[in-house]
Amino acid sequence: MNLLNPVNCLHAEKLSITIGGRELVRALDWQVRPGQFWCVLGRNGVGKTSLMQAVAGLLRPSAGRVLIDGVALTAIPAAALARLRGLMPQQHVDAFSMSVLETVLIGRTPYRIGRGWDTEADIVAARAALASVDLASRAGSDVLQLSGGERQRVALATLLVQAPAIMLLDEPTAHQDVAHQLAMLALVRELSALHAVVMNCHDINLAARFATHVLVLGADRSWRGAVDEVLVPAVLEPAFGCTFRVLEGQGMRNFIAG
Amino acid sequence: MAITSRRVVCLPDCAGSSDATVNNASQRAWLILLSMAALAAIALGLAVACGSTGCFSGSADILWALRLPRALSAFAVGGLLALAGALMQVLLRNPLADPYVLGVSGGAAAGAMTAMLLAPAALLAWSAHVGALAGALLATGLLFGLARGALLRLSGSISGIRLILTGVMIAAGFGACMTLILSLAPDARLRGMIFWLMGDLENNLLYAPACIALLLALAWSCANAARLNVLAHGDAAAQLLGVPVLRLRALTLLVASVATAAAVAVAGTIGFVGLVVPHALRLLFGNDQRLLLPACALGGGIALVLADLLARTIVAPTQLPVGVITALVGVPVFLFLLQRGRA
Repeated sequence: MNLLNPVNCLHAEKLSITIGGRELVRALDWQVRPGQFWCVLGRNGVGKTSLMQAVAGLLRPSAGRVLIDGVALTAIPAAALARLRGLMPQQHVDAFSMSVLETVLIGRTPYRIGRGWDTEADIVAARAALASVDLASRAGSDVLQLSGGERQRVALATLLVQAPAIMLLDEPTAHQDVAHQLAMLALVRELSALHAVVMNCHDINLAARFATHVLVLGADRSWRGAVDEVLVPAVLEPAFGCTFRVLEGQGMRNFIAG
Repeated sequence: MAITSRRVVCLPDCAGSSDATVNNASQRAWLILLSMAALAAIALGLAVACGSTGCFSGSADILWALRLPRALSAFAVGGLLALAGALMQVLLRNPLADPYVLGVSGGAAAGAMTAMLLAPAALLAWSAHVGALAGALLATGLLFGLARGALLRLSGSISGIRLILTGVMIAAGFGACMTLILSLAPDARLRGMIFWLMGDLENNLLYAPACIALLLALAWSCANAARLNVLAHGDAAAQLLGVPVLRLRALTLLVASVATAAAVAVAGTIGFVGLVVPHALRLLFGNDQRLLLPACALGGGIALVLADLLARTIVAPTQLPVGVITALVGVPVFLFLLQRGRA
């Protein structure tokens, strides 16, 4: 299914995901291209994180497959795959104390050959990435002493220096204050000009404001498409199991649940 | 979060630039490692020059035939233990892991005790080495067999916990065997067994193989240090960044286990070097494996050479088992580091 062959197109083909005997995603067909900013919405436990892990190649799907540019994920060598797709996970477990800069530099691994030291270019890139997530002044801090929100932004900086064609973000705004949420989403939208971006989130209004496309996962079906087509009460109400009112004004749509 | 740099969106591909200018981190690492190498040379010199009769007093025979092999085996054993400890800590992502946590030392101890119990008197000198090596390799094999599932799955902390529990159970099983053998052993051999258990460099037939083992383990560690840095951030993170996690994890466990087996086969179960040295060096120099792993090989060697020097001289002419010194020094040092509260 390599229709137009845009560069670095991510394609889930009849993808099913089963966790602990429970089928979370069934036969999902889904394509993501550079220039698109997809937001994945759905209730807790509906399979957003599992879908992201399957798409990243961390989780083996129970059926179907994931392709990048028509090549199955399982057929792409690990180092090449690391330059094609990256994932910013929901949680970070740091066992050892380490500086923020060192942590970001880990993202340059796919561009290094095994044992090398970081080059000046790596360090410049890492500092630029830290600056773009408002952490330039924390480069020398210990990651163990960061707040949850700061640690999350360090993870985004790590993904920025990895610079994969397809960026997967698992609830990147979960621990961010309102100002950082907006700034982060503006940055992610900017990234989506050149990269394919998929983001899990719980904030329908942020999705409406920043995303170009939305995938809504429901209990037994899913909806996908351009943001204006999918973010409507007729989709959200069955997906979330509650009613929605829509407030429109100043070029924005806001969804009020209940 | 001011979006100061749009350029960060699309970074230059640095794939070809890894041999370009290296930065301060590598210069600092070389400086530290060269200083430690100089310290190691001083420690070895002291260990050769000094003995139970005082310093610069022994005959050339004593220096070259007795003290030098002993100092070299102390250095190799210390280096192997500290390196294995550092590898276990990064593998289990637990700064408090040590080379013995997964049961290799239990196997070695049970093997050595069995051999020392059963060996004819003429072969007693070799029996502990051979028995310990066989026991350690048996424990390693058991660990790989039993933890196969955990090693082959990419599931973060759960597989680590399964690995640790499997190792702890292996250690407990061998511990029971060892106690059984000790209780059956004739008094004449009991003293030798107890000394071996405390760690003993008295018998240094194996200094050359120990040095070779240290060099091999160090070479592997340095070649894989950058990948291990990524593994320290978790299996998933490493997999996402293109590190072959399953293979690297299995090889790390294998190298750490064989290094531990080599160390205990030479000198018995010397405690604390494998725990305290990596931990102290991490506090001093940070957690970059590219520096930490070679620093551990040198630092462990220095620590054990000096501990053995103390063991030989402090109550001369009686020689203490070196394990007593490492424990007596290691316990307060470790508690002090723990109090400082940085892991």
